[in-house]
Amino acid sequence: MIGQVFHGLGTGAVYAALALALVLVHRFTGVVNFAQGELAMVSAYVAWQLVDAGLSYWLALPLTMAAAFAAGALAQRLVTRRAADAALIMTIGLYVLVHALADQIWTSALRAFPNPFPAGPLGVAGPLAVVGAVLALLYLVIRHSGAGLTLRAVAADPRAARLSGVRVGRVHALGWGLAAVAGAVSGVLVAPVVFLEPGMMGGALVAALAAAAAGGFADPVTAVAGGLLIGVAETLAGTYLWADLRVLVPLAVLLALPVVRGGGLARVRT
Amino acid sequence: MSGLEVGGLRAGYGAVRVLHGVDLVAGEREVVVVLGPNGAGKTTLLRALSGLVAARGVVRVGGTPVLGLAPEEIVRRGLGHVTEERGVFGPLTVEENLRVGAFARRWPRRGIDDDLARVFTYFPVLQAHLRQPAGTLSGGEQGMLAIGRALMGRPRVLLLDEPSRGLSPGVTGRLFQTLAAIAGREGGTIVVAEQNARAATLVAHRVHTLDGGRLVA
Repeated sequence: MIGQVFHGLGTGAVYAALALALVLVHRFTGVVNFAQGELAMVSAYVAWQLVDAGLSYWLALPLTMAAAFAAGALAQRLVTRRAADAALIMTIGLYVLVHALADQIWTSALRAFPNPFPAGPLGVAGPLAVVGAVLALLYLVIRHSGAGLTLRAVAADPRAARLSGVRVGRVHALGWGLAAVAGAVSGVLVAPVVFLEPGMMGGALVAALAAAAAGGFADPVTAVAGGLLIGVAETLAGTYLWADLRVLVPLAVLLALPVVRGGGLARVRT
Repeated sequence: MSGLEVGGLRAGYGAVRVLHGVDLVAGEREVVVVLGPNGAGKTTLLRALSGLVAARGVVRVGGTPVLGLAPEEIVRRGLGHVTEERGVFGPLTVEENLRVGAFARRWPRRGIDDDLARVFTYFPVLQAHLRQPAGTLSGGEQGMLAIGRALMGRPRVLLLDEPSRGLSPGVTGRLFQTLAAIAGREGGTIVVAEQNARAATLVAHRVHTLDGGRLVA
């Protein structure tokens, strides 16, 4: 039982990181980015290519995070800036585009991704520690840097930020970049578990959407807690009840979490 | 060279024209008050100047033409705008609000402590609430914070939309004394839009009246 809970926390860490990415994009740019999972998938492939080329995993991870930041910022500039009113549809288009490109480049063949963590308890503590470290990093940037200050100002009142001389377009790109970093971590963490293939983030995206929605796409704490909870509940339900029940778990958590936290789906904390 | 020059300014929302050719000149160290009834176009005038509303005509800030630029770029060229809603960043602390204001400058970090001290001499109450979320301030304090935040950008021209709104006559009087002191000491230009504030006209160098989308006096 305890073992299953720990196993679930490892899966949940992946969901938590992706859910956090969704919350960051929504809070700072007002869009739910349906392509977040696919960007994370590409990040996993990039990490795999780097490791395949002989790099150590612990060098490939930060390099991938840096590349994801650039790609996320670029995606914002190219896609949503030109169609602000249709940004949500554009992210679905981006989802299709990125998925098709990955299919072309890497084919749909399953590839094994090296697991840097040993089996056993450390195999769970490892992903949790990585997610925790990235969370701390994002918190520091958002809370204690000049760039983070502009992010929070734009989230609070975009027009007042503009009238204070903040270049809001660049700040939106920064928000997408930081979200892509969180997403990349989830992609790289899930890769050793599910094998590398273009559809690998599908399940994680559903779980992350549920976790993020439970906090109204605005509350990072609920999103991360929800991701961990879904991971654990899924594993327990799959092991002790019925394997097919797993797919219902995100929905159940989505419905239950707002009740537990109080407030409901629309509760927005800025 | 004067601080703000406006010529033949026309603006509106969609098919509805609100401003029909406004001409206005405001020099350095001047406080210019634009009076007018509700719906006369005061807010639209200020929005057109800061790029929030599309407009035609000529707008120069310190001699630089700014019409057609995005609001953040206009602000960076020296035009501060305190809106009617004040727009303080509620979840951010008072100090963070003021620091965001400095992004209108070319070098946001340089001399920031001096500028903070300067703002505190005008509005001491802000210093007392430095670490408090701005959303917890009273309406009057939020108005002062919005002005202080705009001053952090070192504007050549500062636009104020109904700064007296929600303030008692006594507080309003003191606020306009402070604004006059700011215009004198900072060497900038202050343009105030008000409905009928006597206090504003007491410190004004010039008073214009806006009615039906034109300056009529």
